[in-house]
Amino acid sequence: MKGYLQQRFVIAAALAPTVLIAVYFIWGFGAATAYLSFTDSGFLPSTKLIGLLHYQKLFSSARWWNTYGNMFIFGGIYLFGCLGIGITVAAMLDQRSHSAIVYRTIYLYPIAMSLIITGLAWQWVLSPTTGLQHFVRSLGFENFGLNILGSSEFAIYAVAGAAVWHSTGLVIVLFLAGMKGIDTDLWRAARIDRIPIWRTYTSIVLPQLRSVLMTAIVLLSFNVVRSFDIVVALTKGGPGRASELPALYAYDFYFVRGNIGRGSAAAVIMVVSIMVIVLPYLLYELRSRKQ
Amino acid sequence: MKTYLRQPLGWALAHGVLFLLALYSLVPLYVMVVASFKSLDEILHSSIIAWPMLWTTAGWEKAWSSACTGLVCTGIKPYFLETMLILFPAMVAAIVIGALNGYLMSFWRSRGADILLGALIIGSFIPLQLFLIPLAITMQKLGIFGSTFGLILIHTVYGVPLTTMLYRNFYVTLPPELVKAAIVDGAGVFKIFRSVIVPMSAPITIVAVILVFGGIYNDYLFALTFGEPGNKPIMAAVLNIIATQYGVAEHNVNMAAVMISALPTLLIFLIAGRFFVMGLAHGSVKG
Amino acid sequence: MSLKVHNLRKSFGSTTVLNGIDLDVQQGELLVLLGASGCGKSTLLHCIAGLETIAAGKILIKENEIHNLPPADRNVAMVFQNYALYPTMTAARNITFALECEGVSKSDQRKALSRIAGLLKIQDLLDRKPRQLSGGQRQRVAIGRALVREPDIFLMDEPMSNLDAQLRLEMRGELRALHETLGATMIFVTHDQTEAMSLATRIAVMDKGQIHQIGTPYDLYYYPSSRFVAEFIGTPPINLVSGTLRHIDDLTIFQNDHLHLDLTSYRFSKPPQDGSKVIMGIRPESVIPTTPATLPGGETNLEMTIKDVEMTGGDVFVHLTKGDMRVTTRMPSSTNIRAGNQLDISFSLEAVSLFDPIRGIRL
Repeated sequence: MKGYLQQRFVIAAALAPTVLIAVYFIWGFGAATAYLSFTDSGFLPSTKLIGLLHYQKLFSSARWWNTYGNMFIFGGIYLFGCLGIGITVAAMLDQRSHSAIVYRTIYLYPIAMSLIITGLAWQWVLSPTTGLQHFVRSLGFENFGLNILGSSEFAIYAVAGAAVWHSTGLVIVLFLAGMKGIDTDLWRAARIDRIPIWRTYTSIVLPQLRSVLMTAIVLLSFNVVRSFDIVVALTKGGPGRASELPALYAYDFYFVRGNIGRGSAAAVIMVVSIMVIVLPYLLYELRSRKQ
Repeated sequence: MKTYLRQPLGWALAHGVLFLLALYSLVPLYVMVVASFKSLDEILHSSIIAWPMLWTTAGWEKAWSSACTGLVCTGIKPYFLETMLILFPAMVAAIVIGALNGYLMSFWRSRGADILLGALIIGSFIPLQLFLIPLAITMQKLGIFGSTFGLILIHTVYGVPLTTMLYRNFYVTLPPELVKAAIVDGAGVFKIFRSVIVPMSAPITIVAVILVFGGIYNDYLFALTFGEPGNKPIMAAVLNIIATQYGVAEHNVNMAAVMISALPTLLIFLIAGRFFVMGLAHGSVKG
Repeated sequence: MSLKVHNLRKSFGSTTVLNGIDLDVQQGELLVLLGASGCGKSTLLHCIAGLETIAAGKILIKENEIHNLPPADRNVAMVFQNYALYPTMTAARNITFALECEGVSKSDQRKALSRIAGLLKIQDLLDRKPRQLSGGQRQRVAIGRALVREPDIFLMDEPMSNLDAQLRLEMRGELRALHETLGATMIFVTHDQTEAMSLATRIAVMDKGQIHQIGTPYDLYYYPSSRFVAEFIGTPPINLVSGTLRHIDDLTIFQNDHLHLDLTSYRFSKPPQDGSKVIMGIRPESVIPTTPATLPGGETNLEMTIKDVEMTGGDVFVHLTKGDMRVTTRMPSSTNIRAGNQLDISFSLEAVSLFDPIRGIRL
């Protein structure tokens, strides 16, 4: 069996760098950071364990609750916005094939822009001195106020809105592809039965697109939890910390406030949040594959 | 067409909505392009939506060669070049490793390879914030913190899970008989990869290039954390340019800088749009 | 003795796929492994090729043990389903690829290529890619790829199963002709018994990881060793009739409600017991329609009702019933017969088979 063994060895050697990546750079680092969240690391990492202190501080911090809550506001608007607009538009484009490609390109291009560019673009649009507010006022509406970036309460909505602008195209493309896969005979049957178009979508088409919906939800949720670039570019987390998100919080504590332990705790909570969404999805997928 | 909207009202309404959404989609790009080609004077005295009365490339010229980030006024050009210097080696490395992985995991399956694939898939869902500190420590210990090589390494390492998944999902759709025939012909593991599989990999490689290019080029977190202060990759650099203001903010220059930063990925999207869409479909089918 | 397989066993996980296979393949013969999906025939072929490892047993080619060698060292060549030609290479490179892997010089490669191309008459196709070739051309290139290595044995894994019926007939003819010309030893896997009968020197019928019977097509058709083999081979399928064996006046008689047949000349493997239940297998050709006027010896005749007449071109299959007995025979389609009428038939007993009703083996 010499030939076979040699082959196995060669294959293992070829996979070795990737094993290093998985074991050291991904899972090793993940475990290390989780460990650090239980230590008294400040500017520099330390190995002295202090139990759940960082988590306690986190959960009693008003700043953290604001940040974590922002994640849900952001997430809610982002998910409902992208899915609601995306699915509706996909359905409309599904009906009209000749202009669909032009529209699809127009809706999709934002995803080619980085989230930094997205943030900067919307910062320009929403700028109180040169942007929309100024424009509408110049039309005669002297008292028009749209300084959303300066509003503690609503700044996070602006971030969510810009993110919706960025990602809706993706949802449209995913659902459009799914809809094209629906058997045209179903459409003919629905038409013979005089079922209105909107009803055909809600009762017949969408239930068949459950797997596309799940994929979209997982992808969008993933984006929500790790949102960093867009907040930095659009509001820097401001005004003050009003529009801060957990990724920004973690970064701040890591590198600005010099509290690696706290930052790690925040990062761990980010991961747990993602796993809570992704793992049930993965399990569902695996189970339905086995059938 | 599958069916048609019978009521003219429904038809008009649908088109109206689609049109308005298209406007909403285009407005940010429009205002940026327009601002980049106006003079600063015109920007300050006209509205954001207004078509330029006088087109000028002054903003673009300054953004490229003399805009300031912090104390250095070299324009965005050196940061653009630095980004390319990081991007191409990392992209090539991540794709080569990913393709080889995908090949081995599809045609030479084993318990170990399957576990590795699973580890990569789950790992790709972990937000990068969880890796920052250990990564920083490692880079420091290796003496490459802040270096170009350091960023190439990081982008390669974190690009491999994506490329592995892309290639593996592609290769499992190829007929396994091709590899068996090559085995019987006497070809070894790598000969089969080189001569049989790689020539068939063009479609997925285009998708991989688009996705990896976008991932590295558009990255901010690693650029911010691991970029050398004077030599950061482009997304961090463009933010710095916007943030650096001496006196009056030069909006036209800022917008030109943003446009320059946005152009590469935008052009790829417009030219290779079909593959872009394919990439989204592939990239979203994780595992 | 070109290829020998001794007691080969193979499992996938906890499922036993090959359960003690013994095979002797003669030099120059075309052996067909025939069976339904899942019987293990492809797995057996892959084990011989070296694409699968074996759990126990031996494989020998020309007296050399090869079961521990990797495929490249076994000097076997394989033709795959859909031919598996490398799509990005020209036909020429497809053929010389194996030589390329061995490190043969370019000029030697070219010589071998022109020899093979001449033999298979594909000289004009060499610069084309597989997608530019027809099904028949692809088969020839695939065979050329196998030939160029001058192997001891050719293995063929259902190469024609994805071709349409017309093309398959053509390809079969070409393969038969090629086998004649080359005199090569071939092992061919298929689930199609017509194909097996048409191509084979000998057929090995497999089921559930075991070989039921190896023999020439003639042997398998007229002397099947089990009910399974009898039912697998032949279109229309063999007629099966239940009955009991009786010893009456030194004669062995097959008896049921309608028949009383003298089977004394049947070659039993061991003497049958009086009163034992049996199943008789009789081929459609041995069910001979007669007219009342030409009654031969009385008791082999029967009047049956025509249940269905199935048109198949030159012939019709006539499905007959009487009581709970069902029998099919063949007649020229020009004959004027209709369902519902009666037909007299006579059984020719020269080539019947008797099977044990429980274990299905030939008596």
